[in-house]
Amino acid sequence: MNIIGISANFHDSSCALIQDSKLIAAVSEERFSRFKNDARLPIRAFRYCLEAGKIDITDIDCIAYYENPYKKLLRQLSSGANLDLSNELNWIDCHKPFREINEILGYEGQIKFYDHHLSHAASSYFFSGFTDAAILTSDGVGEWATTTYGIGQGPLIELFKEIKYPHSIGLLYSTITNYLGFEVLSGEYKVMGLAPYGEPLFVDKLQQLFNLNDDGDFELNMEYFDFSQIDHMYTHSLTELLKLPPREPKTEINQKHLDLAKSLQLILEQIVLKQIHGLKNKVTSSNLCMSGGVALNCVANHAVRNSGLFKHIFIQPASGDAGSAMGAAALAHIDIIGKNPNNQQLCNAYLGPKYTDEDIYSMLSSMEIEAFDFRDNPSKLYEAVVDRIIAGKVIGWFQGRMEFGPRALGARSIIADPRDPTMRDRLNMLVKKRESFRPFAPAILEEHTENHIDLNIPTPFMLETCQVISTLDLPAITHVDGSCRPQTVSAKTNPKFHALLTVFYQRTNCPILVNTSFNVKNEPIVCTPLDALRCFGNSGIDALVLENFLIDRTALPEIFFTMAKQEAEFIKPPQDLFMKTQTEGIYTFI
Amino acid sequence: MKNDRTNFEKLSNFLGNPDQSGLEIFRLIQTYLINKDSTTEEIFQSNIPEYEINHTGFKPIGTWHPIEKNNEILFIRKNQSDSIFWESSRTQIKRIKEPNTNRICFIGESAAAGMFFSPYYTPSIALSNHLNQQTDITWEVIDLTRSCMNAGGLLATCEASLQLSPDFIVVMAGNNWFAEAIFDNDAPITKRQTYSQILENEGPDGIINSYKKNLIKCTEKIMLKLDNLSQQNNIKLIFIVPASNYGHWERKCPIYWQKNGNTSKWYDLYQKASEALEKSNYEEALVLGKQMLAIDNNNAPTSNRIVANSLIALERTDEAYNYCVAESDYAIMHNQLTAFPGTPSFVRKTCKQLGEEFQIPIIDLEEIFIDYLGSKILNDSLFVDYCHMTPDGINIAMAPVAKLLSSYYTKNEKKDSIQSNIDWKKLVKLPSLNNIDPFQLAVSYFYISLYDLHLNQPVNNALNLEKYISLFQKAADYSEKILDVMELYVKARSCYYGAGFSLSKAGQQLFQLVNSPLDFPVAQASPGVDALTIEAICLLLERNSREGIKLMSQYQQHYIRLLDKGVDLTEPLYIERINSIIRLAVDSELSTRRKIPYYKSWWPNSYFSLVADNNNDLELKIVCRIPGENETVDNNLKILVNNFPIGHLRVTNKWNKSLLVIPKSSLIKGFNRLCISWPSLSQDENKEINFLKNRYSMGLKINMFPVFGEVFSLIVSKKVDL
Repeated sequence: MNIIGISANFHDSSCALIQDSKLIAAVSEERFSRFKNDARLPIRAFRYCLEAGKIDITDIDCIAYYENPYKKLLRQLSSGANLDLSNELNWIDCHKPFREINEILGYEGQIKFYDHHLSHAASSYFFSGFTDAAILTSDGVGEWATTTYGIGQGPLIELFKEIKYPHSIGLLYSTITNYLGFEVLSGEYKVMGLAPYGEPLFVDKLQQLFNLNDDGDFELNMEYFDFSQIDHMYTHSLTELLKLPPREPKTEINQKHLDLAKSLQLILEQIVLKQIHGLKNKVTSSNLCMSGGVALNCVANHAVRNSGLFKHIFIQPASGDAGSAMGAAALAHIDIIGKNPNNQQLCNAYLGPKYTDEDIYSMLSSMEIEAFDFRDNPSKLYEAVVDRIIAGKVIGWFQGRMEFGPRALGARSIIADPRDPTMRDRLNMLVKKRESFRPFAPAILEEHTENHIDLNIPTPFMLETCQVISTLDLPAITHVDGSCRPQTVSAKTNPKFHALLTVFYQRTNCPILVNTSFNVKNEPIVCTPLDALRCFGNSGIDALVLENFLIDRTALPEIFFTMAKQEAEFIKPPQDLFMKTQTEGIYTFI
Repeated sequence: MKNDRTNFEKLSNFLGNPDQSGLEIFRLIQTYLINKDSTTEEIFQSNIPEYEINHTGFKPIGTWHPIEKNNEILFIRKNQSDSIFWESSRTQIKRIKEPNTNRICFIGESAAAGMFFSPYYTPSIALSNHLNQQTDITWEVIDLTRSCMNAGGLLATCEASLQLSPDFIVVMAGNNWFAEAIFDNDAPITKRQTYSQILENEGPDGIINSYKKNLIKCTEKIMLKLDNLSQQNNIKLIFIVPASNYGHWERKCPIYWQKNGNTSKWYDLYQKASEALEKSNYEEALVLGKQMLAIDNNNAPTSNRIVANSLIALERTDEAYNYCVAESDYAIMHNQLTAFPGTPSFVRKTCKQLGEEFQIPIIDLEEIFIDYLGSKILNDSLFVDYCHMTPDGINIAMAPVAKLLSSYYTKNEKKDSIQSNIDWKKLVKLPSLNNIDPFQLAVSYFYISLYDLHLNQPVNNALNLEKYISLFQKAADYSEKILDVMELYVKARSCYYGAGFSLSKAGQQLFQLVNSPLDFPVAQASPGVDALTIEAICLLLERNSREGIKLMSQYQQHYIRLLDKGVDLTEPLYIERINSIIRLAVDSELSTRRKIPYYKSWWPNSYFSLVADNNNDLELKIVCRIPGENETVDNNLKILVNNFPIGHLRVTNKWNKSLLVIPKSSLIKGFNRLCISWPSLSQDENKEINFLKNRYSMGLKINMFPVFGEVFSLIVSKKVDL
């Protein structure tokens, strides 16, 4: 039995395959197409899932789509969506997803579709390993729902309460993200990273933006919001309230901006905690599953854990819309077979493509790129990498199957020494080429967490923050408020990464490495060895590890880096040489 | 937010009607209410980056930006997103010309830029040479040409060039004027409705007529704008209409749906005509070609080309001319398919008519070349591809221009027209290639050869290896050093199946051996396995005592190795492009990443490159289907390897999975050609056209061309004996 789940047409299109009741592949389109947040039909991700499952299109039993475009259309019409007739208004075409699955993917069989938040809920609950759970989903908006409360029992999910558009926590967060001059749908993470630098001086004002009761019922004060515009989500009233002008993108960030970010974060936690309380009042389970874009807010997730309301919490690694592909596939599985696709908790996110030593050797030798070859003695590889890390080098680490979800988890990572006080600035400026305030996350040996971080449970997906309690000085991964966003690494889920960390620990007594995603700004995380090579050349990474091969930057001529930069510029969405291209709005859910 | 949700529910139910009728009605209302003429607007959108006037009081001219230095305004070359397309050697332009100098701003497209020979020999240089050697006056020719310059860019550049206070503006353009692109799958809503109406009233031919009318309208507007610019600024304008290669460039593309069962018949005739051409049976090919033209109302490039080739082979070149012109005219209308830049005859005619009306001197290069050659079939003596000229072509083209310009300073001569008895031909006798490094010429012809092999698809699919070897030999004749470049090219192409081209050591070395920045992308963008190119180069290397065969074998090994796991020949790498396609888009996905999830064939035969050794039988797993409504209608398709039949399959309109064996006896070590020969078209043409009309009506994308068959996967692997 082969079931494909698809999320597409809004942002982060993805595809997942459940084969014989097992999730065997899940991947986002952007990784193949190299266009960040690629929202197009996931053609390449679809083909990859078939290859991973060793099947072809005739073997698919069902394709499950992650939302109900007919319900969504009603909401879009009702909410005063931009009906400028001179625009294409492609959103009017609610048949498009299914037509494209037939026409473009070529699929001839059964297509099922599920409500957006149900897909979110399923993506968490059915991969949690729980036989029952309370469920909270929260994002910008699906069809109508922006937040849902549910209960999972066996193969059933019941969403018994929802908050409807326009009252949305996700949109509240996105509005302030927009106000702070960051790009909506990708800048929220940056706002979360800014928050520790600020003071909660805007909390009172932000509280005027919504009403919230003890059960977590939530309503936005629409005087301050306008979701029908292309380039901003707020009204002038918000500016008058905050007495702070909206920040223009790419301009200087001042203390007031930091304070606004901090205030927003606290508000979010406040709302989410109220909702968790409300949920707890309704559902007796000791398990909680969270999903939706808001569940990617690691700081809020930690607050939820600290509340102690639920004993066990599960958040899957691709909690945004990408992960809904998994959820939709799981729902279809239940519809068709009648039982959960998966009885065990998803313990790793390595669901993408991998490349063999032979592939890489063939590539490197044909390109005449000098590399150290550790195929005969892989343990020496770890020593060589650790040598370089200790010497202050930044390493591109490419191993095994690619991760699913926004976080790099030791398969497509950039790693470095967390003890180095200059490392954070170096990584931000030279390597990632991004804003200087952005913190970096640690990867830590699971067996050593209790000595270094204030979190006593595994966190393999980097979805929760906690305090650093280590006696070691770890400036590269310790945020300004003493927090970090760790990934715990076990030998079972990622033996190679675990082995590397172990060697580093043995040499330095530090079981932690900086672990950030292997990409530069505005680029998706690398997928293939060639992507890694290109990113290596287009950034300040000092050494690249591709499976059992290691390449030092110093071994490459200057022209390699020139070409890598050119190549990176060449990769952009198809652009007609003779006609002008079109621009897109900031938040295209409308 | 609206409160009356009942109405919206009704509306969303209406739009969500499963038969999509609600969507169609909505689109009709939408286009009715828009009521704007979108036919000509886009052509004037410039594809050049726009900048405001800066503190100097001036704005950029192309990639040259104004600065003030030593109380002087200079336009300095600055890196911007399209710098690669402009002339590459000039670092600055002085705003004020030198005393006693006539200044010419030479503006135009890639043909005007002298693509492939820029920057060492260009029309600007040739013009300058002619003028400065023939007159006592000092002439300065500023090259403001840009490859891929569109109509809007042309007008913007002309306007920007006024800042240089030129005495003359010489414009050479018309190749890149695409009106609303016909058969455009991504057309905006208003255009789709228009196409729907045309299909309803006139059928597919009507879209061609509409395109022609629109392009003429656009041409009129462009000429008017140029005239206004010239008049308002009191600057003499000369307009050169480019010419096209008729003899040695083929613009093959499929045919759209015809009527009365004729589509299938057209393709059957095409198959027969192709075979006739291959066997040099030109009389037969001529008859068949004319039968094709009778079906397609003379509107198809392919049939016109078949007739033209036959007539040329039969030495009836004068008769062939009109068919060549028709091929070029109609090829322009197939967006994303065969839209080779070229100036259609009706644009040429319009330019000349308006030139006379507006008193703009017009130089028609087609007329000039015909006069010079003594033949109407312009060919590779003047062109390196479809429109870019050889150095001799450039030299000839600029001679009458120089003559006209110099006549402005001669008394008692007519200034506004070129007559055939004016002796501009004397200028042409001057050697055009003096002082040019032979290696530069060799590099030019190397890239020209690549371009030809990748884009110039013969109408009959015949692979003439010797012809391609001779293309590369021409480069080697200029300089043997080019053989090193060829070796580097093959090495770079073998890196990660071509995708590692620029990051490889060989690619990096190649990058440093180009004439202009535009050369490298020609090599970089080579399609996939590219068997023919690699084989031609390697055989040439072998003939020149280099280890070409060994190099080819090393190249092939990368692909042969993949057969252990299996390769899917529907990956872009392996698909042989039998349409003539030019990349109109900067599309990094064209060659190495999948753009469509499965392969569609617009021709009766599909070709794939299979790189294998002949030591093992191979297993072929194919998942395919043919279009059509009737699931019970089934047909057979044939699969051949190197023309050796290896099996046939029954196919229906649902995906069918089949397994075949490719015997090692059918394989050649190295490059093999796998062909799928599809059954004849069986769809109901009227239904198909109706279907397209309805889709356009709903604002949806269409595929105007019949599809013979579709392949989801075509996996070849080494057969494992159990």
